[in-house]
Amino acid sequence: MEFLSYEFMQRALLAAFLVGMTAPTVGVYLVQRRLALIGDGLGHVALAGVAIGVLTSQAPVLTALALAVVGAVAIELIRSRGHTSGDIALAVLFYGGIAGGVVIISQAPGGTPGNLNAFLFGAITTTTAADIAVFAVLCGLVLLVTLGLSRYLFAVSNDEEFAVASGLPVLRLNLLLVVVTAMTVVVSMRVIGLLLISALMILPIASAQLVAASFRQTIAIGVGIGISVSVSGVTLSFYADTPSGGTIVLLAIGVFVLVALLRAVRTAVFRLRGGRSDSLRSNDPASDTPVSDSLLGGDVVPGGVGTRPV
Amino acid sequence: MQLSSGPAELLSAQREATGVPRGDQRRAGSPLVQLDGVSIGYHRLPVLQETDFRLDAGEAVAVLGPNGAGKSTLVRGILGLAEILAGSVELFGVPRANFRAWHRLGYVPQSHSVASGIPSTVREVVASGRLTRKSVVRPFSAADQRAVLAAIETVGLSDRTRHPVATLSGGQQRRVLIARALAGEPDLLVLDEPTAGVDAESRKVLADTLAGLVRGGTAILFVTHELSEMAPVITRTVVVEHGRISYDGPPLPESGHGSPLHGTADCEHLDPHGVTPEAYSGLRLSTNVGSTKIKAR
Repeated sequence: MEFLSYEFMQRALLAAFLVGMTAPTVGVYLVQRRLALIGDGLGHVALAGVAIGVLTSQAPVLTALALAVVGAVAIELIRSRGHTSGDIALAVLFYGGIAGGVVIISQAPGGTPGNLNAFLFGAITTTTAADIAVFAVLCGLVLLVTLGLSRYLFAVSNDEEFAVASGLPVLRLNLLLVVVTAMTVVVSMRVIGLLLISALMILPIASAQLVAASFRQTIAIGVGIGISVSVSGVTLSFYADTPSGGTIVLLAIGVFVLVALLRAVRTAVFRLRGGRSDSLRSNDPASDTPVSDSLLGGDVVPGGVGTRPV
Repeated sequence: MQLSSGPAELLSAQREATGVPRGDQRRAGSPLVQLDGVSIGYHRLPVLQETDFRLDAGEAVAVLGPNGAGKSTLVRGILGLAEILAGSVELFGVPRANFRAWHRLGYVPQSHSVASGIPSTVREVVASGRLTRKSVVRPFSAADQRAVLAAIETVGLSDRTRHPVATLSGGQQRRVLIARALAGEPDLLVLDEPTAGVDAESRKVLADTLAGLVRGGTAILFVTHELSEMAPVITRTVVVEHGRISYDGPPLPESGHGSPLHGTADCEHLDPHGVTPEAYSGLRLSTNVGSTKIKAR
């Protein structure tokens, strides 16, 4: 437990715990709404905020937060208007963010694009005590929204049209979701990195949905995986001297592959025994054909509407 | 599929259990839906033109018509899912823009599947229908949980409450959507193609469920391209053709194809209000010259 005696490691582990806990609670709604890549886009936008912070000698965490929130609101407003040029507008925002970041930081005294590495891919030595305070507040706010309003966010993400017909404040809820996504991106910028945060929102949920039986369970398992991979990833990067963000994401991918394999093995065993998992499959003889004919991913919907992601 | 006997009784028991009075209308006696000279469409292009329509408590109205005629647009306009381009829409006696009693309106969408990528149980999906009676500062109570379970029981899925929706059959998923709409204990249930893509047996269960609701006092408005099992449930038929209502009156006799547009040969089944096949085809002709609608009631 030698690593615990370093103050920078204590801060890094705390930051990892916070982001590992928070990111999957946001990601679950993004996956459900097929918006898995929005975290990526906001990471790009936040980078320009970091660069502005470095140039103006402000705390980069706060300037990144401001720009990411503005970007998030802009993205959702463009999306909700349903403009045909929405895709292009998003591309301008995303690549404008990263291009702006690189150019602005080159103007800072002694600044080179190389300074951005730690922000892009995560580093364990960079978390300051002030960062931890900001992260804790942001995580509290994010969890207040993602857990406190879970029924509302579930309703909107599950069936937006039904939510509109029910009179729910759909636009406000969607804005809230992208704003907490932006906050999560900012919390990630020390140990995970702005280019990798999306993975920590999505991968724990992708793993959890393979084994969970309910939405609530998906969140619980996702948070468990998120905390485990971020804390162990930071620890591993201390000993292996690797960038923490990359290490954490590789661990998350490892968990995903492992869960998918175990599930496939379990399914194969069930098939060999000629058995069925009652909790996973309807076998009501009076009903028509079950929609889910496979315990593996890729559950086919009648009419060939599509297959399950991941 | 064994349907619990008496969905209507269950629902009224549910209303008592949750302490929601039935007739909390702002203006007693006003129609549930009233459209006057309404045009509805998308992106400012009207699909349905200059339509008058009224729906009263206790009615079960089927909206029929060929694909693309505008029948879905009619209900989507009422629900706020399509643009109202002209005319006035009132819900429960209140102009649509000021309407806030969302719990009085239950919507069952056409979507083929409620299963998203994230596993969610029947109970979780149905609970989202209860939000019309909640607000952020009024969290779910035990009474809300009871109402959710009662709605699931009404559609006969009590043994599936904790099952992931994705493991249910197409017909069962449709019933989950109905239960979701019922969870808010609505006075009017609006359904878009409730029987499309569902096998005969599930259609029968759906029809029985809806018949029970009508007996219990819930008004029903649904869009369909074929009545089949739903025929005994309805009290009135509206036919939409070429963006206008071409018939509005008692249920039309069913042809072999289950569509009102494919002839009305069997005169013995004509209702006593006297819409003859000739009158009906006359009506259809008259749509082309712009005189759109009669009330045969």
